[in-house]
Amino acid sequence: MTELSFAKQFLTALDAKPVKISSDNVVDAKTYPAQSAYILPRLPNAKRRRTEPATDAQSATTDATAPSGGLTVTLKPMKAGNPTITLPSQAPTTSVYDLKTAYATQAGGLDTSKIKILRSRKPVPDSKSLADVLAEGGGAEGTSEKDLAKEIVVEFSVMLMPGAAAVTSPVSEKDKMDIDSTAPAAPVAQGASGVEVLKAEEFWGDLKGFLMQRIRDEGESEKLVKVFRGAWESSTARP
Amino acid sequence: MSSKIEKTIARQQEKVKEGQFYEAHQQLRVIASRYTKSSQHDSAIEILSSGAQLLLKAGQGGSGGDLAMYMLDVYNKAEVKPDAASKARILSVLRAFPKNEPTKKKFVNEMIAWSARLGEYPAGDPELHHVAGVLYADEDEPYDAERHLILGTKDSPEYLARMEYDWYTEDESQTAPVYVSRAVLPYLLTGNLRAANKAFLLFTSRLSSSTPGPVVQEVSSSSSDLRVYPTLPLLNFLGLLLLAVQRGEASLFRMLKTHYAAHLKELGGAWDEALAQIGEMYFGIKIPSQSNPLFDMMGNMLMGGMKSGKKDKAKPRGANSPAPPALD
Repeated sequence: MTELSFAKQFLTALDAKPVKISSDNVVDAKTYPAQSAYILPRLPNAKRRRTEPATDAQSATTDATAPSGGLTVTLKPMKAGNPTITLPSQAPTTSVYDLKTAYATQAGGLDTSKIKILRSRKPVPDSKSLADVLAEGGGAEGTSEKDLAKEIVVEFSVMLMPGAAAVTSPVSEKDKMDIDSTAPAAPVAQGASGVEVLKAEEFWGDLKGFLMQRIRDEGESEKLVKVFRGAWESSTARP
Repeated sequence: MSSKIEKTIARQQEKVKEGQFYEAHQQLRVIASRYTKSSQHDSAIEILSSGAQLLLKAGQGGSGGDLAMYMLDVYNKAEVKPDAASKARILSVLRAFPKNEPTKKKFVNEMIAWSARLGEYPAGDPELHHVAGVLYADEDEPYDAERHLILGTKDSPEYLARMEYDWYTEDESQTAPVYVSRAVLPYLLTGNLRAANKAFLLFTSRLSSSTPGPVVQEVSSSSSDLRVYPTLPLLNFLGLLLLAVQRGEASLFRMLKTHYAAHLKELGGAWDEALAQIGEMYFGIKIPSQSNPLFDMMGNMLMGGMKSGKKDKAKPRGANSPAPPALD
């Protein structure tokens, strides 16, 4: 029997049976037993060791590792009013968590856990390094090479979740005022309630923050906020 | 970081710059142990993580690795829990290790052990597994990379598929199924159907777009579409297996094994153990004598969740098999 006719026959047999587990099913890793993973037996063909520089996918990484330039990271807040921070000469091993910490400190003692770092509108997990991010998004928007300096600029967006500014810290008076004037959570924390909350811009900003965190898609979150807000506004407009 | 610690680190940084590695290593060790003795664990960890990174980045794998291990010691002693900050610190140290540094393996194993002991994941934290696996893949250590990426995050299948494919390109063209199976079968054995499918899809798309690519034929039925590779029968075996596990029907699994028996034999038994386990986990075909707690448990979860009670499942493994609700 040819491969094709067997496959056809098999699919027919398959169709007669109900699906019991979906193709994207995942057993919760918290229930794995305490042991290492099973892997298949070793192959006779040992993997060749690459010599530097690494292969295509890693070329961005190797460029970045070049001692000359280093990476310049720009952290742009999504909401105007918060400072944009530039971190020159970062190592490619710098993790997203390091970026959060740097932003938190430089913006005047924000709470690291309330900061999200986004790349191409998607939140990036703490454990990723700049090299990982570059290897993935090779040539994506927000990366530019300055001609002569051989310096790579990586741009991230920063999203501050409600309460990000809540951590008090020994910053200078001036910095502090900056934060207070822009802190998204401040008015909410002081306890407006009921409809007042809904009328304030902050609420919708916070809601969007939550949706972004949950859905991990900026466009979709923005759309949803508009839908919610539109619906709420039209419901209050009508008697 | 307190200014006192900052000063200490700055001083040692000078030493490292001047090439006085031994001295820097010894002093950092002494300072850290003074902090641990007085239960100032946070300070000890600061010193050790900064110190380890200084030495590792200067190419001093031995002494840097020693401080890194010491840091994990303190993590364990102080019962530091795995959270964003504690994991980030570990990963910064891990990434500072020079490529193919021998002490790194020990550090990776210890870090996984720490996360298993004090965190929520008995087999180790998926994020830590993922980063370790990616680093190993980058260093062309395929077996270590597999071991960690199999237990990694949802990003892991992409890296694993890429590594297996790169490895495959160093071998004969008809060996493609052997390489993709190294991702697909272990993912199935960890109950991660999503990752198994993703790795298979990524590998085969790359294969199809390679030149000269294999011959491909498309087959469709009312519920499934499949690419058939007439020259790569075992690749079809894997593709059909991924569809069959969703149905959990023993007859389907037997049909596959019969049709591909000759090809499977050519592998010299490389898939036998994995397939026997998959037969038990997904299709309820009991293996006469085996006692691997991982497979036992995964089998219970999948079979229990599916409430499949076919004849060939001799008896339900009663005692330890409450169907966990976490299946979906």
